[in-house]
Amino acid sequence: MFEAKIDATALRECLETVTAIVDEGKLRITDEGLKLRAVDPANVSMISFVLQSDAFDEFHFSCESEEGDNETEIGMDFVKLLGILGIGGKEDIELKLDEHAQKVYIRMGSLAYTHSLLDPASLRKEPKVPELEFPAQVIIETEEFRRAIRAAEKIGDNIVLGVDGEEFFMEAEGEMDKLRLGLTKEQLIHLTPKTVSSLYSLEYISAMSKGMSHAENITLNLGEKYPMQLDFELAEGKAKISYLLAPRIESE
Amino acid sequence: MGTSIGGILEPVKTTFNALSGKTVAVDAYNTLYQFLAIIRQPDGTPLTDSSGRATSHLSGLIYRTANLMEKGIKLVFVFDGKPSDLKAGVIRNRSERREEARRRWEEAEVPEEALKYAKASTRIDATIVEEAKQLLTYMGIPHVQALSEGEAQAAYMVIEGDAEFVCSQDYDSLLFGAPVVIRNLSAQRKNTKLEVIDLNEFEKKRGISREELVDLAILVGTDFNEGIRGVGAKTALKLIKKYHSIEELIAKSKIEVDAGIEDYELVRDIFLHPEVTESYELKWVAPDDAKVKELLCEEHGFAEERVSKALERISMLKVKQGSIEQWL
Repeated sequence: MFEAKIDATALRECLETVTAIVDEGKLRITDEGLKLRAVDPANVSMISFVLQSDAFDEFHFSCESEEGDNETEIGMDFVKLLGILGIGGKEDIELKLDEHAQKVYIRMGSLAYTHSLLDPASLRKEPKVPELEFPAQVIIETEEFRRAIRAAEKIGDNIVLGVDGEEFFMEAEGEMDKLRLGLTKEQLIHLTPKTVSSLYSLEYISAMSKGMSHAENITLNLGEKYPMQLDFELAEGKAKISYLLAPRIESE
Repeated sequence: MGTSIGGILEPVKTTFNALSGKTVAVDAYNTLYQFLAIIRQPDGTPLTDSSGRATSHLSGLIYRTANLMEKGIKLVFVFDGKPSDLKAGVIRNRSERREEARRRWEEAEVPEEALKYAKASTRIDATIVEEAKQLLTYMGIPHVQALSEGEAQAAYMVIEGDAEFVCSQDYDSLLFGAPVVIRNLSAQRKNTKLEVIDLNEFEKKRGISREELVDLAILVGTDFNEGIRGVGAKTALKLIKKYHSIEELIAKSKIEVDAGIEDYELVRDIFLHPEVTESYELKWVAPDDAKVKELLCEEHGFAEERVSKALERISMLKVKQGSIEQWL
């Protein structure tokens, strides 16, 4: 049994972070809230997502599965769901799961929407939890980061993110032009002094940066020719999102 | 040929994607030998140009290397230097076997039979090596000249952190201390899977050290000694697990030192303290298209269109997207 009530904006913002990576996937419902971990179809990025139960105005869950694993897994079409939520207004959203019928009933004010669930067996398996160690960490205001990404999009397809001593930098190079954002330790919320850099696809970062726009600041975990982990919180700190992005490898 | 300890190693399958962005030190002789053995016409005759000179090695280098580089794998070829005196014995033995194979190939009538003997008669001469080095230079791929064993040098480069893997079909580089060895990297056939052997994993799993592994290989036979007749990898593993070294084995078991292992101290020293050079430079540059075409198309009659395509693949690979799976 799962029934919950949540602020429409909070749910929409959370779903946007998911659709930046996958269109559909397996959502796990537990006592602690809603959880998801998924890799995009091209195997380049991954999202780990938790929307805590205390982010909801009401949250009732009891597990009906006989395996006793205290969680229910449902397959959802996030893009479709977000499309419908976008039409609804600012009223609270009520969710109700009917596991036998494999449907979620969603009520938004006077609008009632029945979302048919996808067969979890038809969806990709949840990826393993990565075990990565990042030598450098930077905490930056989201707007500052997004501005650099927007500028870089005008120039090229790739972007270098790195730390050079006490400076965090983002660098994009096009055929003719070059763009660089450099922020010293003082201009950042936090920085681990190191010398590392990696190249990433802007396409993925752009998609991610839309989802993070409602977060005040973001934490970047970086390494040398290494994946980047990008963490932020939504719903007043009660939704935790973590993106992982594989680097692009440049051969000399 | 290398040591026959394959039976006790447990290779793990891997993918090209997992190697993307990695540097692989390739045992050049082993790879050229493979090209010459595998890249042949159906009747077993090697690829040759209009003047009858072998071109299988060049074909392998340009087309198969292009495949790997396109996947973002950085190759460096390591060539053997002067063979050690002990190895000379094996080399002599090998040339005899090759002559025998060549004779049978000429006698054989059925193509399948012919192919088998033709493969065994493969030989790498100085011209083949020189041409291979020249082509690599033109292709912008670095090569390193080892003082002695190429596999020892390749292993050293991985230990030093200049490369991530050694690529060879035989296992000798493990004995030289290479932490990770890849097999089947340049094999073309779809059913041949890429394999990785991790020395650390092996040591942990089997509970024997590299020194013990070297002694084990000596019992089985290496390029430098014949080993004990009738002792295969599995028996040798049992013996080493019980006695830990050849000295102990000789002192405490019924096994006697015979000609097959009489030089064990020397052989052990070759593997544990190989001659290696620190003076090498790994730099990948854009291929010199004109030079490559001059060598392959003008000199050896390769189809220009195919060579152009391969060159395009080599130089196009500037930036490759990595897969998240390799980090999970």
